[in-house]
Amino acid sequence: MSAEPGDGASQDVRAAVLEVLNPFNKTGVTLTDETRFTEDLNFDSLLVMEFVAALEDRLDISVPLNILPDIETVGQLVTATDQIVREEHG
Amino acid sequence: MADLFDRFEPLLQRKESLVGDGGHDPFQVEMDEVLSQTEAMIGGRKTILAGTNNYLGLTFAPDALKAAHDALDAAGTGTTGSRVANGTYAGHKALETELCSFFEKNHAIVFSTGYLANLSVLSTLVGPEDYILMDADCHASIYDGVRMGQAQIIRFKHNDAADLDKRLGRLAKKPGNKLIVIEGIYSMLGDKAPLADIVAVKNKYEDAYLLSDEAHSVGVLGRHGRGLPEECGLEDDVDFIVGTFSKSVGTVGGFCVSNHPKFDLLRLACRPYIFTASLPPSVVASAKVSLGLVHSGGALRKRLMRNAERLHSGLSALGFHLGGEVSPVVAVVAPDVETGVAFWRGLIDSGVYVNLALPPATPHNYTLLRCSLCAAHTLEQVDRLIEIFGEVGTALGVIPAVAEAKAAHG
Repeated sequence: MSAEPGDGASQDVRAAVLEVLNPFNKTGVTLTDETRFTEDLNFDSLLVMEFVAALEDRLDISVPLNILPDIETVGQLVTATDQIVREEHG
Repeated sequence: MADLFDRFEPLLQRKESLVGDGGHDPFQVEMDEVLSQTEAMIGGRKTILAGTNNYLGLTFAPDALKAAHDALDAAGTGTTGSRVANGTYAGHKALETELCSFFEKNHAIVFSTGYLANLSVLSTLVGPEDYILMDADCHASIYDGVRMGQAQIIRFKHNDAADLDKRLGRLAKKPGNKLIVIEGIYSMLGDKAPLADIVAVKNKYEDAYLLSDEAHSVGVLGRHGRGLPEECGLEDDVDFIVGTFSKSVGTVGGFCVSNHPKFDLLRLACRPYIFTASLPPSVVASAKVSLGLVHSGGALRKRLMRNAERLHSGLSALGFHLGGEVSPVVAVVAPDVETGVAFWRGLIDSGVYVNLALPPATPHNYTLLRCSLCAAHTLEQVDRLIEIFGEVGTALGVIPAVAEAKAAHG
């Protein structure tokens, strides 16, 4: 993963992540790379599951549960997702 | 300086706000005296037990008690050792042989609890190159087991074979084995897995295996109590069955059975098998006898299902929102956590014990008053459960008053 979360990721992947995330944004905060899933978006385990499933379907990728503990912010998710997309469809 | 326990502050706050008012605490219930499979003294009151997972009521089976007493006298109170050291007695091997014959499988391993059985198998069977595809509603022991292992973990939507297919399809190009993990009966709502659909998906993929946790379905489903695979006639399609002795079998312990020729290798690799003490001889002896009772327990299964149907239809008629199909688990959905706690207290104060299940341990973040029935419940006890649920539910406004409900139904 790159040192700067979200930087260098494909704009398509970023747009897809934000598109899938939007309906899950119940707190209405403006989504940036720094937005935190737990603190800013009030994600609980059920929402995480639904969101990850939606993201997998949107991009036709597999997002293993194993990587989730390291992802706190939207930017980190964009970077991780970008990496998976490159591996699976690159 | 921060206290070590500061990180539990949110947990404490949640507990205080829910049950900190000095009322009966749903998570600190003490059974002062167990009177039978279906009754105990709780807080000085005789209470009907309707949340013990003691499906067949075998905890006081005379033959199991006698076997346990004999083993206790003959072999002592404990083995003081691991299965791989000094903790495998003749009784442990005899129990594994009994499991093989019960399930008609070639191999069986006994673990010290059902939780440890899942931890053992799921953390060991699959490696870093492999994938676990687990139903999202799987039990905590499955989540913990897969986390302890190194496989990549993918969840599929609960009981959705098409979603599993889609996810397996995405992994088709990847090397590595795929282990599908489901449960026969899901513990919170009592719903069954669509086994035929899941087996059909599994059979599309050469490198896919299927493991089913039959903790809540052994003893309950199938002509001989072998669980959902027996009921569906699909026993050869389930590669690994995990189960427990702490529900229908009426004691404690866990197991896994399989026909895989190399299955016994797990004994040398499962850390929760190697590094914990084995079951005491009395437990092993009662489990072996009770397995026989489960096998021939057709009459008990009938009584259990009769009770389940009666409770399900009785609560349904009162207007309660029930979580699933008719099964020995009958889960009443409470409108919110606060009402759930008040409901649970109303029940316990009226002499009824059920499980209070709260999010995030529940599907859909439901608050549940989860009942589990027992073959030993009498019809009078089941009717009493319905009556008390009705009284408490009406008092809390969860269901309309009985008179109103009758008027509404004409």
